Amino acid sequence: MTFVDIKISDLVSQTEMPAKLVKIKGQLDESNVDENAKKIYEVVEAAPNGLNLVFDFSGLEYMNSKSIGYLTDWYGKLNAVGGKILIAAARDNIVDILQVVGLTQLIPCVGSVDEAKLQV
Amino acid sequence: MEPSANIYEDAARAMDGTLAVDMPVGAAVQPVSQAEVAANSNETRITIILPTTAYFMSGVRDFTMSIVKNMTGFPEKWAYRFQSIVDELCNNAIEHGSQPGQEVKVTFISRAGESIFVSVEDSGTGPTQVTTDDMNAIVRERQAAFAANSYTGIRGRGLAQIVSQWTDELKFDNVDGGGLKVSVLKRLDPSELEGLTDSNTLKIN
Repeated sequence: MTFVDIKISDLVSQTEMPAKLVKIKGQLDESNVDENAKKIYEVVEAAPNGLNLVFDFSGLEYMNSKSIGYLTDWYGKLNAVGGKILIAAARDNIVDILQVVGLTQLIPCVGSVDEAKLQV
Repeated sequence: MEPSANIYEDAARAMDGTLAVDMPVGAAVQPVSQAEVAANSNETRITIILPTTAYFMSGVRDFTMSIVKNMTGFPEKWAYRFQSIVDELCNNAIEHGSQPGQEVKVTFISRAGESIFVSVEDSGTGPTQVTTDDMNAIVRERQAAFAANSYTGIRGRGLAQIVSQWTDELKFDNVDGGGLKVSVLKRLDPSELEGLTDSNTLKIN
């Protein structure tokens, strides 16, 4: 199985909406994405009244189409209850693939986690 | 073997003339040697035989990165893009086109400074039997759904968005014995050569 490490922690929110940081290191591919997506779903489903999620992609080297599909699904679920997702510090190749599927039109990509923290 | 004007025909001809880099279970991708470079110095042909498990795809992506960076004359961003293209095509072949324990054949043909061709061929023994017409229809339908912002599925972005948007040609062929071959071709846009460095040129030790 391809290496990936996902760490989830609380963020100090600037709004009334709770916020969490999801730091992903490694590669999300067919061999590991389904298992690891469950961790994010647990966080999303534990916040029925909404949540702001910041994804720290600084250590993310690769993501496949299915991981993009999951990201889209989390966006849809959180957006429906007033929450939002921000992507921080993604590498050029990650931004490139998010752009080609049109996801950057839905989910803002910012340069750093600190910048993202100011928006959640 | 002289290259023809049609790279798809070349790909078919490559099947009996190219080098094969077999990947037995547990093996890493083999490094490309001088002997593996086709007689035409402008053209490199490599075939990889993969077991039908996603376990090996990390190595195939590394291999794809190395080929595109060092042998094609394409800018680095295309190395990352072809990692995704090859990964998506192989995952489809493994999941939909083949049973466990079988093989998927991946063929690269690089014409340095001109084009990259990749084909992925499954055994046609997967859970879903599809024809070339089925595949063309699936891609068209999904592209229409994406254009209308009406697609909500978790799956389905690989071929219809990533592969089709990052290549100039996407083609499906039926393979003798029942398999499906998916081929893509990307031509180098000369405007992308600006700023190209020596690291993008072919180097064989």
